[in-house]
Amino acid sequence: MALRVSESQMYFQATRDSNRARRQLNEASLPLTTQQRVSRPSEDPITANRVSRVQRELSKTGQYTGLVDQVKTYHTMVESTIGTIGGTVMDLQDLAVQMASDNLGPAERLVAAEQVSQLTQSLKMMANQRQGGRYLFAGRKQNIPPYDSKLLYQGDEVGRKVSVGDNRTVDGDVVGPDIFGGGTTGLKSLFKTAEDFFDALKANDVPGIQAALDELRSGHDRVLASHVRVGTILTDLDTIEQHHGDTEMTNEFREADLIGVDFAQATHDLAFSQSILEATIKTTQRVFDSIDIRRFNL
Amino acid sequence: MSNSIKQLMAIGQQGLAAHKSMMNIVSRNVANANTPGYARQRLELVAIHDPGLSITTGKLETIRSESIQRSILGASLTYGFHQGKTEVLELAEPALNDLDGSGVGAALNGFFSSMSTLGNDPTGVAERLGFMHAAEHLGNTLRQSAEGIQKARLEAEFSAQAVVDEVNSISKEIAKLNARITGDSVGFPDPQPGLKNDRDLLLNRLSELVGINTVDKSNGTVAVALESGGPLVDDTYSNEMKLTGGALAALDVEIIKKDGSTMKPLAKPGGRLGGIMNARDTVLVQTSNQLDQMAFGLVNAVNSSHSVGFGLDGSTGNNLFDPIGVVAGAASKVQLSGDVAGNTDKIAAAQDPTMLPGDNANILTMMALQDDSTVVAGGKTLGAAYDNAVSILSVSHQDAVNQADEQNRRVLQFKEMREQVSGVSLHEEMIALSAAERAFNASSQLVQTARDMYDTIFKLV
Repeated sequence: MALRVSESQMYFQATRDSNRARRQLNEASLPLTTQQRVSRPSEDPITANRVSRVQRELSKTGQYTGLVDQVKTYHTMVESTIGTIGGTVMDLQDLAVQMASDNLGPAERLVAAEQVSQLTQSLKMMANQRQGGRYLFAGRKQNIPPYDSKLLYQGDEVGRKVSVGDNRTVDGDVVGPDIFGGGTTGLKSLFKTAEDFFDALKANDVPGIQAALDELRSGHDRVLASHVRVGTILTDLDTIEQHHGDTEMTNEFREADLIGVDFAQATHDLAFSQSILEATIKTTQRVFDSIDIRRFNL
Repeated sequence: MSNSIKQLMAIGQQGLAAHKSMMNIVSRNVANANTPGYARQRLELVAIHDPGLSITTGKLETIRSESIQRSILGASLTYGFHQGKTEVLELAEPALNDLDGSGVGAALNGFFSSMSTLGNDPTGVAERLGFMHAAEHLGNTLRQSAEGIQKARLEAEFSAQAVVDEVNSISKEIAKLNARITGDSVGFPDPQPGLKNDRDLLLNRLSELVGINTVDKSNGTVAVALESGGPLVDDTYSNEMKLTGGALAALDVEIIKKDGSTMKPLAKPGGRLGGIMNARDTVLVQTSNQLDQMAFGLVNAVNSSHSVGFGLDGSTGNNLFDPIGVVAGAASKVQLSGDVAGNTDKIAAAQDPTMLPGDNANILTMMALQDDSTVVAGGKTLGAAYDNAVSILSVSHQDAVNQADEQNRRVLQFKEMREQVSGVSLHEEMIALSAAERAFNASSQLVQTARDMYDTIFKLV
């Protein structure tokens, strides 16, 4: 308790109190105007550091999510195309089963050969299919079609790896030999099988047709295996996407918790500091009025 | 009898004079009620018991507390230090503030994000352009941050010079006041009681600026020296303080004495100047070093990976950023290399030239750098190194703000205590004025009565 109160002390206190109240009002208004609880690192260095880490995590999750999305689009397209390829190979296989029958003659086999030729063309089109400017089955070697005019594979047999999570990569490409054989796999390509089948039909060569049937069965199994592999990758990607979605949501909540504004609290704080400032001004005014020296009349 | 009347008149005159002096002091107090640092005065009235005498004015007392004054000096010193530090760090903070969604951290995230997009389609023109722009943006942002810190250091140098100029000006003023207080100055023969108040105010300010020790001398002067050593004022002359260092070197001060010789204080000054120096030459240097380490690690690691990869045109050995040889100043030199600038085909996404254009293996290697804790010296990832730079600055800034706030409260409390003791209360002065006025009127009545008595006697003669 002050023993005595001097004039300058009163002005001093009034200035100090009103400055403090104005500063509080300014601080209380900042979260509402900036929409952030913390707008400068020095206001809360630990929070700023945590926010930085969360934002880095969010950025990485965003990178992965974008890549997962793109790889999923590719594999979905591949899955659909492999399904069609499988159907075409199945058609060839059915034709081979029919044509292997001893009841059919050369005329029927010539007609069938024409069908084989068309189905082979269809396979070729699918093998060199492009999606978004990329050859679906060329792997990394994207500057030329994966299959040349003689249906020989000239693309990449490894394919891209795509990073879809921390220490997690998936195959970004399904390369032609995985589906059609050939290349350096040592397996006879489906195209060569179809060509041999075509030749056998034209030559009315039943053992040749039987051999083509066996090779087509094996080729169909390979197509099915690729289909299953792509399906597995898509399932994996769904799981990874779900994980990234959860991580992203968790980190967004963390970020909001760290710097987000609690509007109810902020509005309350603003109203409270407004009241404090008004009370300070009114109190000061009343104190000065009551000690007006002009009232002094001893 | 006439002797008694004469005595009565003399007593009345003495009362008039004493209370007139008292009213003078009251009026001086009232006039200075709002003068900063003014210490009220009280005139002692002394009763005299010699026959024929009644009252005289005694000691004119200036009401002040030396212990409060010393407390103000001490708190002002600490407040000045943290306030000076705050002012400099406040200027640097925007350079490393990512909370608004911009800054090096965001640019680094954007760089790796665009790298990832390119990794998915190394043949894409848009992806290559996006990556090149992200790399350019990262370089720009790093340079801006480094420049922001350097600009704050330069501003700190200007502020330090301004403080030194003010210190020299105040030292001269104190020396002049010393001269006036001792009467040892032509034109100011009579020391005024308010001079010590003025000198106290200057000492307070000086303490806030540099941190001082004072010695009150028997002749009424005060000797002032830097707390870190080095005389500023002695008797009626002042020495010159000079700022040394600057640019890339640390700031320091030296004292140029009256005889022209120079003296280096034992330590760096305190107060506001010390805070400015600490922020400039310790905190900002550490922050800058950490940012340089991060930039150096980034450029070297990215270039190491990029230069072994292959561009769409089959070229190899290209750097993504201009190579940087030394850590010092690295952040201010990060820019896109001439090897790749303007030609996205030079971006080396591939590791196998036979698998162009779709090979992304080199991008995957570069992407792994964002989590690689060997990229920055001291075992930090790029992000962690940047966070560290931000933390060095923000923790020091926060501490300085809090300390300045705390010390300011202490200074204000001590100043309030001083005002309690030394400040003028108009009510007190009004009471004192009324008391003096009544006594003055009564004394004048005494004189009048004595005159009436003389008149009565003269009429009898």
